[in-house]
Amino acid sequence: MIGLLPRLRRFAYGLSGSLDEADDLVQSTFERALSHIDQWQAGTRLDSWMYRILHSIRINRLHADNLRTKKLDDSDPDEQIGGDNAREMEAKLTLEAVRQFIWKLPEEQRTILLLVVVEGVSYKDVSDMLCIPIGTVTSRLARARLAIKDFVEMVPS
Amino acid sequence: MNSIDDITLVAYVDGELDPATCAEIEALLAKNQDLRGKVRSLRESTALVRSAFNHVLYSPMPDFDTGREGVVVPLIASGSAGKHRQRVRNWWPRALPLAASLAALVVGASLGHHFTERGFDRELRNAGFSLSSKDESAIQNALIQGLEKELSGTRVAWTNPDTGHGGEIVPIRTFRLEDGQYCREFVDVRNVAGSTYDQGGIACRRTDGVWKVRVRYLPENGGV
Repeated sequence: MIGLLPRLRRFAYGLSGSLDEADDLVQSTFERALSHIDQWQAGTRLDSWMYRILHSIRINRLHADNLRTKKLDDSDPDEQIGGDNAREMEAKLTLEAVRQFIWKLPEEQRTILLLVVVEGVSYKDVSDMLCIPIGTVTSRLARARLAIKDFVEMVPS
Repeated sequence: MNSIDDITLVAYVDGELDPATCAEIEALLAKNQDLRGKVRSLRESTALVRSAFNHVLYSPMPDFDTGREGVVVPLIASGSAGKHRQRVRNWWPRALPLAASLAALVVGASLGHHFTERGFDRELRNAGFSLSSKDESAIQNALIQGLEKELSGTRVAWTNPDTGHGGEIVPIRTFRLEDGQYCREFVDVRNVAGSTYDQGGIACRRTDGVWKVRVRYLPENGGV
């Protein structure tokens, strides 16, 4: 279970755009998972179940706190560029631009994008996990992917 | 097929399509340069998205309160707890990049990732079990159906009432080797006498339509 931590944290960071918020989400996810472990069905994937919990906590918080504007860590120490290798710097800038773009996508598109592309979950498992039809998964995903493609093509390389 | 909608094209880039649809798209790509450009752009931007959040994996983690010491939950649990050892396994490496070449995987796998050719059978034998030929052919049928016909993530179950053994094959990603062969990753889960054994593999489809398992590997021991 502990082995899932880094990936849950990556997913939470991708959703929320803030490491602090991500860590908070992961902590709550573990608390809920452990207190509801009897609800986890043997034979199903534990990681999917935990992604689902994290996602529902995230959605509840968004609803509860929709006055709060999304805060992004702009002074995140992890984002500091190590060394002065120009190519590395360039790559970081592109990745940062991609992250910023993803954080501006609608939450439901971002969630599916992160699960499929970053976390490697199959379309079918995403559809089960979020309880939405597979057609909705594919159309939201395609919208997000096309938007990112157009964005990346625009960024001068 | 004369044109491809964006949804199908994205599914193609994700390796989510069955080989037949893949082949139709490949044929279309061969004669349409604009489409090829679009696929290339999609792949490039996808690769950026894939790596955009990875730094989080390596950044220092706070001390999470993960509850009771020693809580161990298997990633894929067997139905009965029993006294058989429960295994905690990490299936994460399944998220191979679409363009992963088989060669790269084999190298990666042999560098300590429990690469095994027939390790599954050995493991079962060590535990005192052997699969009957009827088990083997049920697995073979599930494998062929899963690889040939099913979308990735679909579970194809098999059971053998004679032995009480069962399991499932789950096809994962589809990709293409440089020589044009279609290959698919899959997970092979077997439930034998109350214990669950799982293994990953890659099978490739020969030009005569026969699927050959090219490699089998145990997942990394993650979890605890």
